[in-house]
Amino acid sequence: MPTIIKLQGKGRVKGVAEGEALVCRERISFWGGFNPFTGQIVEIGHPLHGQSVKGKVLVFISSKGSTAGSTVVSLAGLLGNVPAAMINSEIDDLAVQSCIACGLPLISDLDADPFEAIATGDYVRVDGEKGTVEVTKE
Amino acid sequence: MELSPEQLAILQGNQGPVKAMMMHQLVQLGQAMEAKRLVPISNAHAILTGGGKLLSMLPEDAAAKQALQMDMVAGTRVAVKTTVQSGTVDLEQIDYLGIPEEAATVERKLLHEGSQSGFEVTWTCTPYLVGNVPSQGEVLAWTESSAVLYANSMLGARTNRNGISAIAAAVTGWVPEYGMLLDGCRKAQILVEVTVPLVDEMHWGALGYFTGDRAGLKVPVFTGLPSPTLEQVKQLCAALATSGGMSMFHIVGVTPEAPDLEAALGNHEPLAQYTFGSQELQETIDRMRQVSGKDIDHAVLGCPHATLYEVERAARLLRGKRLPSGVKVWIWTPFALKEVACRLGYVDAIEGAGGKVLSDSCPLAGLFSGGTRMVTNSFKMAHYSRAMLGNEVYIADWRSCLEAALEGRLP
Repeated sequence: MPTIIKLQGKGRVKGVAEGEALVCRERISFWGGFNPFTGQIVEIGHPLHGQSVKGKVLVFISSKGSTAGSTVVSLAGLLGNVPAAMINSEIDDLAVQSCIACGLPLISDLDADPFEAIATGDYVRVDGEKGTVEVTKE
Repeated sequence: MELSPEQLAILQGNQGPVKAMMMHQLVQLGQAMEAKRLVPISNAHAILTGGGKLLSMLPEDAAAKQALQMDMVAGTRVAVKTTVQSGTVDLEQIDYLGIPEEAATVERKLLHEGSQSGFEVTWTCTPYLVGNVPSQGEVLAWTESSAVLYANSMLGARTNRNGISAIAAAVTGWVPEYGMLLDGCRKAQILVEVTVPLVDEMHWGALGYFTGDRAGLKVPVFTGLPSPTLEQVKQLCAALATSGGMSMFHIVGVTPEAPDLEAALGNHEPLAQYTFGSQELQETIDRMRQVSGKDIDHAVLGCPHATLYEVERAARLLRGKRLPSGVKVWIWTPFALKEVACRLGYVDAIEGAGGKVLSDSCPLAGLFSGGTRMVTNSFKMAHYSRAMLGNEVYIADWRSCLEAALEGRLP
């Protein structure tokens, strides 16, 4: 039987989305560390190197690196290579701008450690208006 | 967030649909970052480029949408002084860099329309090298992570890390008030004690790369550092914002908001403390020296864009010499400085040796690959080029980079 966990956080950017979780206790540079043409993380040595974020509920610490990150996510949005939603443990304005540019829900400040509560492969529903996260574990 | 009648009117479209859309983005950003209001800015540093080679890689409909978006921006009058971030094309080097003609056409149009709308189309990552030098306390909306660090830390001006929001702020004249605009957020939380002399500019980059990794989004404060030169601090800023994502740093006794350690920390204990000594320096350098052979085929200087002094000293070293065939030297500098460098004979000296002085963009922004094994003095260039351009990289001081290029081989 699948178990369902409900988490409450701060809705930073509105929108409702769902998808499989991709979880990584790391920061991501969307400029230079992410390929908008494939949706893959390309930073050398990054734990998600080679993995696609497309359609995933991407759980990570925060953005890092170049401020052009939001323009790259915006470009990836035109190509349909963006995550379904983002969940951050630390909020930063570049993740916010990336999500605003593509209309992706963004949540931070969950009432549980997102890296403990959510595992890669869990099915996650995110409501950026209410700040809620519903995790379904098989 | 509370909006004034004037701001609300813009949001409702009384100044046209473009400004309404931009205002909507700023309000969304402000709400997400828990800002209470929008405040006026005195200048902006914003992105204005069609995408260069990237544009020609996009499917037709996406390319058209991208070009249309930029066109719309370039046609909108800016509300404040606005310099423009590095673009994706060097308009003087279309053939040399293999830039598709349609991408160059888009860029020429943006240059023309943007300048008509009041954009200072500087196309550089170092606005402070081309006359955008704000004073302490000025509120800005800057893009470019390394320039944001320079403005907040060295000048005491106030800007968050703007991406797409810089353009919205440039045309509306407002930014949401959060983060670096508030006194409390500018205090250091991470202490880094530097116990090794940083002899070369590249060593300042190593300190930045080491610290960014550990500080993440948090503001670090450094002790044990002398007043840096412009060339040194440029490397520190770029590297901090490569491995990290903070908007500011302090150097005790040097930067304007750090007269002493207590002031920098806001009389709080640091959350974490690190030492950067000779071992940390060497380990950080070694991380950017993972090469499978000693032959090199290109040297890249000018990340962030080179000062006139960096161009001059390269010219001095290269004058009368000749690079081996198949080895490139690229020195990227703002177009404004390249004009002066031409007049002073530096460009002739560098190009006479077989090197190139380039502007408006950079290998990363424009996706210009110089070859398979790069030497550079920049941690930012080293870090990103491996993933973005697929080359191996060896980090060295600027002089060693040029000497290696002249030999075609690492020492």
